[in-house]
Amino acid sequence: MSYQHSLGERARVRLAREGGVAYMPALARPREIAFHECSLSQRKRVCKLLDEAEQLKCPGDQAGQGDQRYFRIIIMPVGSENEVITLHVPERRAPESLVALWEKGPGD
Amino acid sequence: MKATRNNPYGVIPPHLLNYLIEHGNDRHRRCALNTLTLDSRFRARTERHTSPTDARRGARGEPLRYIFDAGNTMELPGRQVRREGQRSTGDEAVDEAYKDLGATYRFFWEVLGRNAIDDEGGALLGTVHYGEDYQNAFWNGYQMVFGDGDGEIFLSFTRALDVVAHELTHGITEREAGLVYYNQPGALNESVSDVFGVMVAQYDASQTVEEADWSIGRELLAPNINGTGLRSMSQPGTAYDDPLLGRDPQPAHMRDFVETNEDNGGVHINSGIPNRAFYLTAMALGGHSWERAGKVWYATLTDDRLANDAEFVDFARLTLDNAEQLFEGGEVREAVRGGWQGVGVEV
Repeated sequence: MSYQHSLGERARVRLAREGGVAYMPALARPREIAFHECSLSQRKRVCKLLDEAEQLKCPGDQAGQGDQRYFRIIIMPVGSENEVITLHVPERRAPESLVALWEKGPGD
Repeated sequence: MKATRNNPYGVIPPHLLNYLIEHGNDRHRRCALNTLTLDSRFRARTERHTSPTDARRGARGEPLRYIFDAGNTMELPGRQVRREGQRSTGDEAVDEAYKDLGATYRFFWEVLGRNAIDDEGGALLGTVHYGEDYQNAFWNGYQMVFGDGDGEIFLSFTRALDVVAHELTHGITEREAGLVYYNQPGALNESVSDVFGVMVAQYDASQTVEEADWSIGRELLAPNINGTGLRSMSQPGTAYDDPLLGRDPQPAHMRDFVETNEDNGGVHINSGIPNRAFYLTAMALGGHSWERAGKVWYATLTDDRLANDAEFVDFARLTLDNAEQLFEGGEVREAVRGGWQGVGVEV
């Protein structure tokens, strides 16, 4: 199932880079993307990245093993924390576009 | 490399596809992804890149070190720049990694009789200059990797012997208890790395428990950062408080245990609790931490009864049992008990 078909206007996505030899709150720099604030092309871009993240993900307890960094993606299909899908993508597998989404947001 | 008939992924072996996913450009990545079946067994698998150093073994009591330079890329292992017995290169990170891996080997061999990570004299592999301004060091299941830091928050990760030893210890834990990297077993995994990391540094400096500062990564923080290191084992939660890093979130006692989904369920956060238990035990015993407290912790890490999903109380009970088996008279056992009780773990 593609996120392009399952996420609507109410969806929110939270993305943080975690892991590493120490947990330092300010370095995780979580970013939240609210779909209702995004254009159609931005949403499509984010959904495409989420589809890719689905293929690159690994179990949570393996993502950070040995102090390796990873991206934790929380997908809230209806915009609330009652229903969430969590993906862990190891940093070494993360595409540049995912890193850019975390650093700069969904772009123009 | 030749594909075998058993390879279910076709002509291209899965480790090569994994490599393309991790290191290729966007087109390579996409092609590799399309080639892979979405078999969860495969996705969960950790592929290792083999190299000619794999089969080599050091002489008993002698380390076998290989240092690689990633050239500020994220390619592993990178170019080999120094191997066992070769002279210093003049590159600070290369020579620090070489020296620190040697000091860590020496500790495990001389104090605990362990012959390298695998206890079979296997090679110690370290890559330096990983990534650009990379603010981390890690163990990837096969080797240690060190970033240069960005210079503003972190300096080079090879500067801190305790951090190098922390990463090497992850390799040992993986081969021994295999503590699951999540929640309490994950925090124990992290704590064990800190415990042996700090002992390696104390052993190298011939420090008693009173002389040691009990901080992890003191040398890593840039001069303008308000902090004394990455963690404090004596006073968890006090290592740093800085706008660029935030505030050290470690608890020192079970009453402050942090329930969280972040950081693999708080593995680097709640490790403050067993860290302080070790500190309290070592301080109660006095002298050198590795002489008694360290031996109890090592016996516990290598104890077949330690389950990979052990919680703090399970680990604590085994430390008590090992203290009794290793040292007569009850003094060590009671120091260990006091250590755990001091952090709210009742044994």
